[in-house]
Amino acid sequence: MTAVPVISYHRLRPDSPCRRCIIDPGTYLGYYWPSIIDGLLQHLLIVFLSIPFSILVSVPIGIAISPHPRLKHIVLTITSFLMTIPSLALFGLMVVVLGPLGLGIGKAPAVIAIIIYSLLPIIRNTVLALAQVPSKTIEAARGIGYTKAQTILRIMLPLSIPVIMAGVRNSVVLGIGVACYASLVGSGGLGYFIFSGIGRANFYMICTGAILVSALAIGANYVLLRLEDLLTPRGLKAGKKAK
Amino acid sequence: MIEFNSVTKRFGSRTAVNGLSFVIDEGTTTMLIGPSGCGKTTTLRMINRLIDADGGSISINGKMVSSFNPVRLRRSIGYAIQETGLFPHLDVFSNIAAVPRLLGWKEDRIQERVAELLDLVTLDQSYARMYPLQLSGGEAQRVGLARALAANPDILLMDEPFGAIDPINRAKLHELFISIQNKIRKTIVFVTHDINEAIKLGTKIAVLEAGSLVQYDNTAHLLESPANEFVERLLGHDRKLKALILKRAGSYADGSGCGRVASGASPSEIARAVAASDEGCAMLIGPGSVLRGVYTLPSEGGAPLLNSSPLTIQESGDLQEALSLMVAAGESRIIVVSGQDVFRGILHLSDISNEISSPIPKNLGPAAGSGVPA
Repeated sequence: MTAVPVISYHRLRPDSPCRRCIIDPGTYLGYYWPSIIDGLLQHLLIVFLSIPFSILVSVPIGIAISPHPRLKHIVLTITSFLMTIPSLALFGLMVVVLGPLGLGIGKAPAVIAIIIYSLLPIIRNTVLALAQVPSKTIEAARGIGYTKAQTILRIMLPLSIPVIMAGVRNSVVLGIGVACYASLVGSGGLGYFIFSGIGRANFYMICTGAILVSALAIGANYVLLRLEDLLTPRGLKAGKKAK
Repeated sequence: MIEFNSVTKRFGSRTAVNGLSFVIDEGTTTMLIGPSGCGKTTTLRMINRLIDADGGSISINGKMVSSFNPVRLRRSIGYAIQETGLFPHLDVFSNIAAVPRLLGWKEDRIQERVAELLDLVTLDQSYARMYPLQLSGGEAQRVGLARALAANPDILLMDEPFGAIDPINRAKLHELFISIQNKIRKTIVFVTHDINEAIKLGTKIAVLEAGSLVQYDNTAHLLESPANEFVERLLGHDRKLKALILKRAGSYADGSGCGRVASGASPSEIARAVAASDEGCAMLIGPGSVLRGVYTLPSEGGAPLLNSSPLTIQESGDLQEALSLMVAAGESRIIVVSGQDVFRGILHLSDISNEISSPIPKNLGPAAGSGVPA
């Protein structure tokens, strides 16, 4: 992958054209658009590096814990706890924890923090989804000779897709918001505009960050809704139709 | 042949099944009946090892079920349950094809088999591409039955399959069930809590109470001589009426007492035929012995009148149905027909009341008729 350029600080010195940007949004955008595109792409990159990992971890965990009420309780409690850690603190923690591994700064802490954040919605929805598969359906599957694994993979998971996907959507939207802090640990992204904007009381910068993050979240939610619809088995969408 | 030998199953401190011993004969429909919690479903599920027995043994054709791999055992036994348990994300075809696919059948053989089964359960081939949510309860249950029969198992286990279906459709499914069983002659074990269903469908009935077998007998014998008060209460005070379900209208049809006229007969011929008959009626018989109507003398006198839609029942219909038809219409006789209205004879209300009042052997005590049959 080619290195993603980060906006360098010298562009923002008082003698830079930035003086004009504060006054005139046109000039601001004209000057900053390459960095805005950069930020947007980096933001997306962080989120879409994290979520597939999170799905790969969370769905199997959800499947594994769902038959065991105690284990389920423990795992859901831990993941809820992880989610209550203030996101800013979690990013800070990542820097400290990953620092000795040489991963303290850059994409790694951001990606790992977002994976941790998105565990709960996906695990919880996987557990919920599996629990709402009718017991009669599972009994029938076992009764006609599906093995345990076949029952989960061929019957329970397909029936769980809509609910699991809702969890994934939740995680992505959450992740897009949390990824704003990524700029503080050197991962870039749209958070840069927000935090730098605050630092210099630059209205347009803050707006750039805020509006783009919101738009990204809304857009991602929409795309995932469509994906959810595509992945949902046809039989689940088939209502009672007149014959 | 399925043999239970002092089978016991406990769930925690509760004994679900207690020392159960009985033999289910090949090719028969055996109904397991009893109140909720009597262990009938547990008994059923121990056959395909969805539940493993704690004590005793179950064998199929002399081979212990415990010696089978449970998954392979279940694939070799049909299984149908209440609310069907159809897989909502798979279409009807794939639902029926589930077991053959697990068994690794070739796809063209599966297609052939699914088409055959849709025919058997009287569903149009176009249903193959529909999804379970698009089906009515009765249709879904037919698919459930087809799925259970897909790999042509010798044994079929059914757990209240028609329990969640409205009475009209349930009656239709009962007819279908009987006609299918007459064709395929599987060994069917059928759990129900509906005594009427048990009487209608069962070759034999096993009555369970609190995990023990109270009585195991042929349906007719069970109705005649309940082993104890519990069975008697289960059968209801109208068990003699229920026993009418077992008797076919065809065996009581008598055509000797009524006159017959062909279509196109003159009024005087008709009047003569009616007057000459013991029953005071004459059947209007069209080509192919098809019944077109009945001439009877009006009560106020005069020429015989034609009733072109008389009260009829199929000869395969049971006496209970005949009785309720007669009561509903306020008539004391009903015409028995076969196939497309081919005249067989007349069934009288008195034939039915003779059946009901014929002496039934008195209660023979709790031991009679229960336990392992000869």
